[in-house]
Amino acid sequence: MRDLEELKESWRKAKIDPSRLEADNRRTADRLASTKESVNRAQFNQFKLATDYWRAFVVSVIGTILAVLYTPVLVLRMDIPVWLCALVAVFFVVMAFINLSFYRFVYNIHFADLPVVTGLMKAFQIIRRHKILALTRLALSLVLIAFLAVQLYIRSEEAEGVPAPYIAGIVAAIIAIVITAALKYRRQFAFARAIKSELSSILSNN
Amino acid sequence: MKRQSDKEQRFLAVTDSCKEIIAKVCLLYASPSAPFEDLYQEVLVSLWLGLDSFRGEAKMSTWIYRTALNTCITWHRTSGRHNPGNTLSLDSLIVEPADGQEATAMKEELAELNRLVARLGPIDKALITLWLDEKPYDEISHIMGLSEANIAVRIHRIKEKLSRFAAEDAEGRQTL
Repeated sequence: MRDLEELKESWRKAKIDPSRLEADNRRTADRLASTKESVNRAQFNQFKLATDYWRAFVVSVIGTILAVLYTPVLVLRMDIPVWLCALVAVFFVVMAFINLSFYRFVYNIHFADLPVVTGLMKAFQIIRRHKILALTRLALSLVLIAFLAVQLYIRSEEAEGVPAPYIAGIVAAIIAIVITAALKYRRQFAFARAIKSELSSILSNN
Repeated sequence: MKRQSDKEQRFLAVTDSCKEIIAKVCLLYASPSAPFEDLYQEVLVSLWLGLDSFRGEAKMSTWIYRTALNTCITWHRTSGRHNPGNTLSLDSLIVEPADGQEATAMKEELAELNRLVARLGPIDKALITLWLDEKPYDEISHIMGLSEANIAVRIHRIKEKLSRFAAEDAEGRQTL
């Protein structure tokens, strides 16, 4: 068994082959300089997450527009109450706002400039917010879909015509959303727990 | 175009002057699921992206360490998603030291150090990397964002941990 100071001394004296690293630096500089900044960013999880939320923002805006455009059809043809159509539109507006603000929050953090522990805390903050937003988004969507299902069911009872495909579709959507969300967020939630325990041990000594 | 070329020149000046720092951080964080070459490339991309926002408020080496450690820790956290690749060995990276010390003995020592450090958590690994590079506590404090007193306590504990790991390894070899 060697002494730690001895290992440290060897580490300090060790020289890394400079030619190999310099060649790497040049190749990478050429590649990065000729690539769009957005493409370079795309390999980092932070920017992947930001992109996800940007896409969700765009979908929410489209959803708002569609909700407004389809209101006459839903009200006149399917007998859905106006308040429910308004609720759908409000849901998409709220989602658009949430997605845009989270996108900006994630995109504007410069991890590289931050001290390591602060960076980890920010990463943890992002994950925690993402977790809360994901669950809120899921819960609101499910509530809205359930409202729609109930309304369709009530209308079908009143009209004595059973729009079974609609209700079956809605139930299938609920199941699909729950399964997808569970699979998607399981890994991120496990990571959040692991990083939280490491941070707690660090911060308790600070 | 000229601006991009200026950035390329600045980037090369930074990376060439600090290549040892980047490489050594990557060496300690490298593993079969996080190959050295991939880590090194990832750190270079981080430095490229952060170069425009670096305003010289901190020392250049502090910024390089922060970027390299943050990038390696982030990779460490998500390594499960990456495909195992070929990890460059210490043998192919370390060149013989100028003072004539036996290269084989040194490589053995470095391999042992690497094995021991690999058993630490990512934050402990960051602290021991800075201790190995003989950074003063105030600079470690700037890089890590922890108080100097906390750093002293943690480094002391990490050293105890590493000594324990080394003793366990030695014991294991004896029983074999």
